[in-house]
Amino acid sequence: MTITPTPLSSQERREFIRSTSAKSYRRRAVYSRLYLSGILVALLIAFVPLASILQNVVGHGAHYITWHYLTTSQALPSIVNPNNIGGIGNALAGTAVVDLISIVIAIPVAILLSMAMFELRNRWVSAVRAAMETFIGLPSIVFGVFVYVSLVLTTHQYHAYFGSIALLFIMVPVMTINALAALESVPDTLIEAGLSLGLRPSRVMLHIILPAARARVFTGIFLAFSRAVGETAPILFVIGASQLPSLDPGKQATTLPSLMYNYLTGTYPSQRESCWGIALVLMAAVLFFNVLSRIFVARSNHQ
Amino acid sequence: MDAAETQVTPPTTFATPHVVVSLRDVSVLFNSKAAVRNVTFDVQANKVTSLIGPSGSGKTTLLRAMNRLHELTPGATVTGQILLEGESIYETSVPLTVLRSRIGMVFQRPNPFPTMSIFDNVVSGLRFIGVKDKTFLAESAEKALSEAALWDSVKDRMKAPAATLSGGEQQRLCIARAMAVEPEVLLMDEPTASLDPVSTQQIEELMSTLKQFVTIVIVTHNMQQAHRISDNCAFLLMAEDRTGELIEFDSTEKIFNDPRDSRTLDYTLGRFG
Repeated sequence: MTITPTPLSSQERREFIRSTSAKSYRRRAVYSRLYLSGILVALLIAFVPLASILQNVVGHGAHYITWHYLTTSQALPSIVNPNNIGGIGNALAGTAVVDLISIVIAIPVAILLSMAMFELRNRWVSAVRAAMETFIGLPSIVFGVFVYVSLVLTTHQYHAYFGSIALLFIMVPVMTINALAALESVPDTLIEAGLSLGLRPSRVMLHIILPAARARVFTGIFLAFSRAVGETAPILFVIGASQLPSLDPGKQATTLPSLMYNYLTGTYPSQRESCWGIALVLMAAVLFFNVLSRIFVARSNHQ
Repeated sequence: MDAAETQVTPPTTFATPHVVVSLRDVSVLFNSKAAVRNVTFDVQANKVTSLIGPSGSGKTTLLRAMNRLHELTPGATVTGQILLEGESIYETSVPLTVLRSRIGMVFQRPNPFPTMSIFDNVVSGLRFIGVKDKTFLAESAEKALSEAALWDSVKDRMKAPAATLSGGEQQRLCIARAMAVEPEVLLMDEPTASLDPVSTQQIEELMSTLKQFVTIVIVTHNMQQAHRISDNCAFLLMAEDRTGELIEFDSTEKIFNDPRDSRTLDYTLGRFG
């Protein structure tokens, strides 16, 4: 394409631009179709393993889900009675205790931390933030090792609450970083409007910023919780094991993931089969909390 | 499709002015609730047509429907017909990108692309359309910036970031950016709402020269502005069910001095709204 030496008239320019636009539209329409089919293929590739996991877990695990399985404690199979695996009641109780303690501590700590970090905004905060982001990326077994070395080896005991402590290392950074991002998403004009009414910064935080960021803060909490429920590595060697359901955080405990680990390395095929049931319960729990958080977020956005 | 009915008169005949855009019974609905309904009027070539009316009367909604920007809002639909040179802009055969390069838009707040230089901003539309020729781009930049009355003040700093310009200059840069793709129609959504009086006056003066290159449709809250700059006026008002309606469309002269509807008179005199 060449440009004539004399400047083009408005009409000529317009025609040139329109034809270029139409040409590039036709070219892009072809690319668009190409990319779209590429995305479809990628979708299939992503969908096949997911569907296969779902099908396997539900297919193999569904028949385990009975009242008896969920409420009775695990049993030990023997050569005489190789299918005697009992239920997962003790692991459900253990999971409830370990996760409940850590979440009850993590929520206030994370929210207070995020508010403090939001208000301070100095270089120490940046350092803490960087550290937390590193924590989020660390393999969770590191926290297990830390708790094992610092608590189990010094006290020579296993406790359910040691597991909660290990989980805190996972939950608090995720919740804090998410909550901080939520607070930062609140428009400055709202904050300025509040301050201009003569409100104390604490009032502005509690009554203006926090409510406005509420939905996203809760999303972060649920996200962290969903992640912690399924964690195996950090709690595996700090909580011991309990064959009986116990809600005492000072006692030893078995959680769903730790029972699963136990069963997978167990001797009897019935134990390994039972892992499908545990996997299904875990999946259902995480799905339940995700749906709950979505409903909650949708509700608070409507208000 | 009533193409025959809306067939435009050739521009050579001066008796009836050339119609660039015509709205026929246009309603814009959000989730099946009408925001503005049954609007019919013609936008004449190389004239400034202003949409006036109180908040909520659907001026901006109507304007955005004219280059299909309302489609970004989920649940928004348009009924009736909007014709550009006699062709429906809602025909699926019309590529959206080509349509929007024919009907440009300038927004309430100046929105130059923050990471681009002044030059890159002006030619961004052309570049993304696929124009590569450097001479053509340079010529277009000069032409568009001259049309936007910005060329003299920026010609020596074309590489400077657009954010270094003042608010009024940024808005003129946005006008130049829209003009660079040689649109037939330029939609302006309260283009002076966030500007100081001096910049506002400059933009208003600009519009009177700009209209020889492009047909302008402008939404404005400012009665004096509509009176000063526009040739034709559409007055919209919110009905009792909170839906905008076209009360009157006429020459600016008629709307401000001798309106048919008493509500128009009340509004232009500032008795409500």
